Amino acid sequence: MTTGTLESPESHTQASPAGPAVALSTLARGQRAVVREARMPTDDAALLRAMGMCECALLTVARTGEPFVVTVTGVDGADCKCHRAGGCRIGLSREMAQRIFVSIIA
Amino acid sequence: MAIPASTNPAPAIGGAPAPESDARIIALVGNPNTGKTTLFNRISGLNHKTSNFAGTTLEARIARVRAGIEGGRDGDLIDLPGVYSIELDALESRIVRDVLAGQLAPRGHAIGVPEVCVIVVDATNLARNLMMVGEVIRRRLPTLVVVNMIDLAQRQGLTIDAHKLSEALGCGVVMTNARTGEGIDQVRMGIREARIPTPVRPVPGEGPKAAAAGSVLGGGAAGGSTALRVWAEEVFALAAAENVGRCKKCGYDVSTLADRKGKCPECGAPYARTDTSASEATTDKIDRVLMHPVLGVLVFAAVMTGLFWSLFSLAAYPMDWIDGIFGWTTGTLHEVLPKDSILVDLLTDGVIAGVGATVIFLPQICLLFFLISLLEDTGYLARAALLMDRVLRPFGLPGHAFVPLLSSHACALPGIMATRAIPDRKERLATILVAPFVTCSARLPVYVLLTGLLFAGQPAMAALAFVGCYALGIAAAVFSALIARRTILRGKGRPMVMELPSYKLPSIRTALITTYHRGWVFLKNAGTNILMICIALWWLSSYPKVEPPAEVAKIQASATSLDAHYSGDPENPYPDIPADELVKFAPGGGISPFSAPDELREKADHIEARHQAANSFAGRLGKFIQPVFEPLGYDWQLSIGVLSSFAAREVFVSTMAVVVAGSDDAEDAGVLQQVATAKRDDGVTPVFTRATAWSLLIYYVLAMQCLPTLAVTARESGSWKWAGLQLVWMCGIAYLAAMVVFQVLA
Repeated sequence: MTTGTLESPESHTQASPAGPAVALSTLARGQRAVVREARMPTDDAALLRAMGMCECALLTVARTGEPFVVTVTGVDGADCKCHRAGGCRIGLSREMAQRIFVSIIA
Repeated sequence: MAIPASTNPAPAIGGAPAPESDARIIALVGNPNTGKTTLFNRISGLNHKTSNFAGTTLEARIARVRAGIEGGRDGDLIDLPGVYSIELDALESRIVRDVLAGQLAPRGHAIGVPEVCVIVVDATNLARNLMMVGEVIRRRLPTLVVVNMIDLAQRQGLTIDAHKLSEALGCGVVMTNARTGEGIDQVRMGIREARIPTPVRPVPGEGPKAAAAGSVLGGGAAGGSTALRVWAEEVFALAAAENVGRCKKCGYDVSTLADRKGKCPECGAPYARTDTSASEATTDKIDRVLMHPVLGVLVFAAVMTGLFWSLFSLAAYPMDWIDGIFGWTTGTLHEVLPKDSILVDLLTDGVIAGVGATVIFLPQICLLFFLISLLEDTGYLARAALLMDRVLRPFGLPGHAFVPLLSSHACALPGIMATRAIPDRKERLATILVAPFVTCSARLPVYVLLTGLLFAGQPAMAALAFVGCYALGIAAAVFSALIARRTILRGKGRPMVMELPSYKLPSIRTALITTYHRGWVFLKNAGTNILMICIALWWLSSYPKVEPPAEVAKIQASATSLDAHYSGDPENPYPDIPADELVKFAPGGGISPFSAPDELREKADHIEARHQAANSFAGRLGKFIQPVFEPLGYDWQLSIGVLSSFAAREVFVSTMAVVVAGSDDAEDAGVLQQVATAKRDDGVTPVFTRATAWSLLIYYVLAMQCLPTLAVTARESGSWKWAGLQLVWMCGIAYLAAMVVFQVLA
């Protein structure tokens, strides 16, 4: 299985690290985190990226369990030009949430 | 508000083949859930046509956009599939890419590079949507950006400066609320004035070389490179981010702070962030109920119950009207046209009986699509699909399969077409294969007949059997999916990921337009494929013409002799003929001598029709194939019914009415009584025993008896192999199950 990343190959800007990367599925409701890495097939990673869950995307957990729901509220870190407001709500299977690694910020 | 681009070079599209028609190609692109379809409906109204992209099964909707100015050219607005990125390695993305590159066009349209590209973006999620704008801009096409759902953005405290956005992108920008129609005229104007964008910051990967390459970034970077994302954020910052998430005094970024209200860490000034938190809180509250493991399921059950209740109660009225119209037409034709002519037979028994039996389901199909469209528009359907993922996943189906399976309850055709939303090919194929197991409207007349026979005078038990049929269909679908996913379609499914759109009031207009469109597709099918099938079946059932049996002439002679003596009193129909004399007029065959002349003629017609059916090509075929159905308990009459309904299940009832009772009016209680008490050739054994009726019911729940469904399966799966497999699997399961039921009960 080819694995993809939420960071595109042409650039390697990193989000400001805010802690060790943990699986998104381990977060509690209301916790905020920054996306660091996705360990999944390239196509799935590309789709997530296009949906806004790119590397250094800022997430808030809206629901845990199956399904897992996050709101993508912005992009974190100076490198990533944090200007965004608005956002979207994405529902994921727990399996997908287990493959996305994030740094908890709040 | 249309904001034209500040620069306006002529739209030169080098090397592009010019379209054959004079109409300009206008591509409508955008992310899913941006209101693209609502905008398309606003522009086109009911005036659009449907095609599909050559070599694919993806639907394309095309609307003519009038030039509106003297000497201007009309345009064909093509509604392209909603995609998150045009660089993804997915069918929809490939189609958008190819259309924008001038390598693909809807069937029936000349291939050419679009002269205008209209990009619809969601105002509440502008930064992400701008990434796709960047992907389009670097193709150097005249572009118009439509920022939709500005009402929702304003409610969330987001302010987007259209002038600044237009300057940043270097192309026209229109703010719209497609739901209310606000800004639609400006979109039309913007299309006329669209120019190739000249963004203030060049889009990464822009240029003729990159554009010619088609997929600029290639698969590895598909879905939004970091450079493109940064570009989108910069454009967003220029146009919309001035006051969002920033301390009003010092400009410190407070967007990432946990609290919406507090003191700025930089200058200590109080801040109250105008971001989406309030809206998110409301969405959270609703989601907490709708996606709760218990409450969510209860709400889901209530919504589905309401939906099906509407289908079977509200749709009953228009179905009765349609039935009445077809009945009136049949009667009128019989009166107007010469009796016993082939034309009358063809029109009444072939065209009207066949097409009418299909068109009668139009109200249910329209109502289902109307309700599904409303549910989808509210944002609930995406949640329901996500909720159902947990239920369907153990059977190898994704949550995406929920909507196709739901649609299949009206008709498998739109259900199978709705599987296009399933991203994984194997999961999609599995859904296509099992969708026809779900009870569709066409099975209902058969269920009504058989449950009525099984539980005459016991409506509660008949209703329970009805529900059982639905449950059996669903169970057969999911277990068949499980078997397919463990064998021929083995493979790990793609984990579910789905954007959950904001909750909003549904648009009645959009739902009505969708309903009109779907209903029209269904009618076209009824008027073409099903019409041809019905004519073929009519011919098989009506030819060769055979002489009526001698018994018929005898009964008709009796009726003629009795005409002059008939009093009209059912108690004493022939007062001037003594009873012992009257017996001489009796035609025999168990027919009462006290019958009215018209009753005798009716009986003669029944006997003649039954004799004709038994000796027709279909009848002979039924007798030939009857040994195959012997283990299921079917005699030649039932075999004809099963055979004739192979093309369309609902034909079974009218066929049985013709074959057994000699009447095509299956709703006549007398006919149903005759069907219920019909005897086999030995004159003693009933055609419908308890075991036979159960066996038939199980057979009709499970069997694939719908030619149009097979045709759509072949089209959507890309091969007749899958349609063949579907036919063999469903009929095989149905045969075995029906045989077991009959053998056990008999």
